[in-house]
Amino acid sequence: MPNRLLQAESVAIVGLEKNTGKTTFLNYLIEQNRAGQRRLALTSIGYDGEATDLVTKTAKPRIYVPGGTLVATARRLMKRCQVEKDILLMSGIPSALGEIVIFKTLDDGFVELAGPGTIEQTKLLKTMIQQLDRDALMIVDGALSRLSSAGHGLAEKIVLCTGASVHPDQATVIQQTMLAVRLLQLPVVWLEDDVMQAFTNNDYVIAGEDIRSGKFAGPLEISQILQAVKKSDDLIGINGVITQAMMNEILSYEDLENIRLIGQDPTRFFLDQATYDRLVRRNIILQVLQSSELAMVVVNPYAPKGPGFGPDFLETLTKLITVDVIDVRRQ
Amino acid sequence: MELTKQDHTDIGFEFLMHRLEIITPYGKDRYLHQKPYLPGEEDRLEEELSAVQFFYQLDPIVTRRISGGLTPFKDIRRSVERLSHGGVFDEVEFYEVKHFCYYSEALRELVSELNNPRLELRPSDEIFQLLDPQANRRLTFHFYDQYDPRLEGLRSDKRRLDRLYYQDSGDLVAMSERGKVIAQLDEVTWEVRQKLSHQLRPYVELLKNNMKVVARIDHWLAKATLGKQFHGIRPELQKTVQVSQMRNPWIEAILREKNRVLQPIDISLDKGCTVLTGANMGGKSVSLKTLLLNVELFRHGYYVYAGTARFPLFSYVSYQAQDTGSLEQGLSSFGREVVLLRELMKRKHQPGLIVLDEPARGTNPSEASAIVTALCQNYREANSMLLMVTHFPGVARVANRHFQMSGLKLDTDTIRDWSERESEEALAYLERQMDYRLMEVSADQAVPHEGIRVMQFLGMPEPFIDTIKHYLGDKNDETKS
Repeated sequence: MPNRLLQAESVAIVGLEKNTGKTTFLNYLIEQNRAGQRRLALTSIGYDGEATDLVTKTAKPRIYVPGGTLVATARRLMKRCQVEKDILLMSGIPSALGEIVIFKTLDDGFVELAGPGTIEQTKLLKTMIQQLDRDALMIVDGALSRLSSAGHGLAEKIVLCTGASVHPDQATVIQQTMLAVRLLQLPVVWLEDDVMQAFTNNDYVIAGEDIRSGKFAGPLEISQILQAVKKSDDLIGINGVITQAMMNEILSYEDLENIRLIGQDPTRFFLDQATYDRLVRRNIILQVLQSSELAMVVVNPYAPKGPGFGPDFLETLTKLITVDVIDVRRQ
Repeated sequence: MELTKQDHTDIGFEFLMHRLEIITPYGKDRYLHQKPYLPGEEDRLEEELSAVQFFYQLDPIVTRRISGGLTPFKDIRRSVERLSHGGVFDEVEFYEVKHFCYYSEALRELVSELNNPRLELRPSDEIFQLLDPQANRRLTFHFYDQYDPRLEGLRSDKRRLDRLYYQDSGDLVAMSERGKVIAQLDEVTWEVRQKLSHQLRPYVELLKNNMKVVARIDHWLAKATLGKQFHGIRPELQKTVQVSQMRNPWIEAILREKNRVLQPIDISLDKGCTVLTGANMGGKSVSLKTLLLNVELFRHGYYVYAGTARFPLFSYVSYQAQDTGSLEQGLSSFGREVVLLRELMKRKHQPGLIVLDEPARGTNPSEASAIVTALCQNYREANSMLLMVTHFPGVARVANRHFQMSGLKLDTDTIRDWSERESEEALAYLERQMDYRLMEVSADQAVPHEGIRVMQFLGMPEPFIDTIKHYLGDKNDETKS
């Protein structure tokens, strides 16, 4: 199944929490490419390094790469990459652990990844890697354990990692995973040119019989736009993050229903399951302008602390989720 | 005593420096350390200006190629400094030196076609070859097997053991073997790093020299581009100041937004005191700033903005702007001025330039008039050049030279027609009628009474004007000799 991932232009591996098996999956993906079908280019967003996890004190898997892999990591981690490396480029991109270096491994060995801190810098790094090797498959380890590292169209495909480390209660984990999956699979819409233009140049846009748009007077000034919404309106678009507090504000307008709420991409929405359900009941439909394809969900039923989950965890998620769900340790 | 950062902002020097397109960290460093050339350094300044002129006259296609050649340079000064003090490089530092040599070699080829000895970089092939033992001229670096005969074997051992360890992390034999091999490999790599650093150390001077040349090329090119951008000329050296059609790109840019133009200025200064008088419409302060800007550009080795421009090198340049801050008015600002003047007078014998915009404004006019006249008198025989704007009558008589703003070109017939119009419109018209050119006039040319003409123009009641003229007549009787 992961072989399809190997045909992508770029893959982001993101976790719902720490210890959800991102690195194990990354190693697995690298292993699938053992025959060398694709040249791999690895980096991460931020750093959650250390051989043992500082938070949970459990041994963390290390990344084992074959010769010929492009690696973008911070200068101060170079020593810890126990592999022969040919330095190709100093990227000029800073990070907490020094400038990001791009090197090619000359033999197999272990590497540690620490990439740029921001999505924008990671995009820049991606451009540099593509200039070095147009055909390389860029894999971004979303080290920050946040969905946000999947956003902004950075990667073509997303792998979502979830598991027993998210919460001790299996039902809660399933619910949180499903919410993340729903967000990552929000429909991508094409807006009419004039609406799109108003959206791009402003903080918000309201469209129906006419188009109204503007900038927020202050942070979270959503009430300002909600008052302007009419029955006949078809959509509200909001640039930037849409927080739980903004969602609550939206839901407090009882007349507001049967409307589309559009964000830039799935990572701009921050909400819990209850809020999501209330939106659905009111027929307030969440949509996005751009999204990466959720290609796979990876589960890790083991937890660093506690008993972990049984096989029904994987079974339930497989039934609920339309894309492939795998337990990486049983592959 | 020298101009402050604030002065540089006020005269437009900062405006131009912000437009200086420096590319490399080396050029940036040269720019940040730029200091004015001082008397005695005329040859060095000529040398600098000749270099700028060389780039100014280059074909734009060539300068673009040089810009491109400068772009890849990164800052390796700290690494090289460390190396010179016995430091041992890591692989990234070796890479960066290799990178530097690669691009300085490329730049060397580019500028060698220009046949200018100032731009000559020293060949760095030898360094590059040290860092390219496979001689494939690729711009990458690793600790090549060629650096030590033991590397190849250790690496293949490690490869084998890594594989075992990865496949079965419980294989304790493989794990301990692997640990040993990694330790050996680390040891050999350390030796390689030391050896290679030792081999590079004799080239530190060469690298530093090339950094300096890169810095110069970068800064000169930026100076030339800045000169072109605002149509500058190469200033010439002579013992007195003599400029014609002088401009200030910063003030021009501000005026352009308001659809107005700045009239170019002609002025000449000798040692001693030069007085600038004229109508009270702001043009004199602009003239001072324009002069100061071009003086500062000149003494820092930049092109200046004028039709012709000749300056001497000054040992210091001092500027006292018109006091605009109401908070500091009164005795405190006057006190500050006195302190400045006291210090300046100690350096009267030096070839400096002092520019004062309406000195002694902070005290009462009759006292101030005497102070300014005495100041002027005091500098008659000085080695410094003192240029000051003043409204006080009689000061010019003791000055060495006297310039006057041409002023309002109002003919009395238009006054009545315009007096009924809207004030804003009238003010705009008035501004258009101002002639900001400076004309050298005789020492006893009276300070023009343009204030009254402006009042008439703007429709002040005639009886009031008459009253003013009455008092003016009394005053003139008192002061006229």
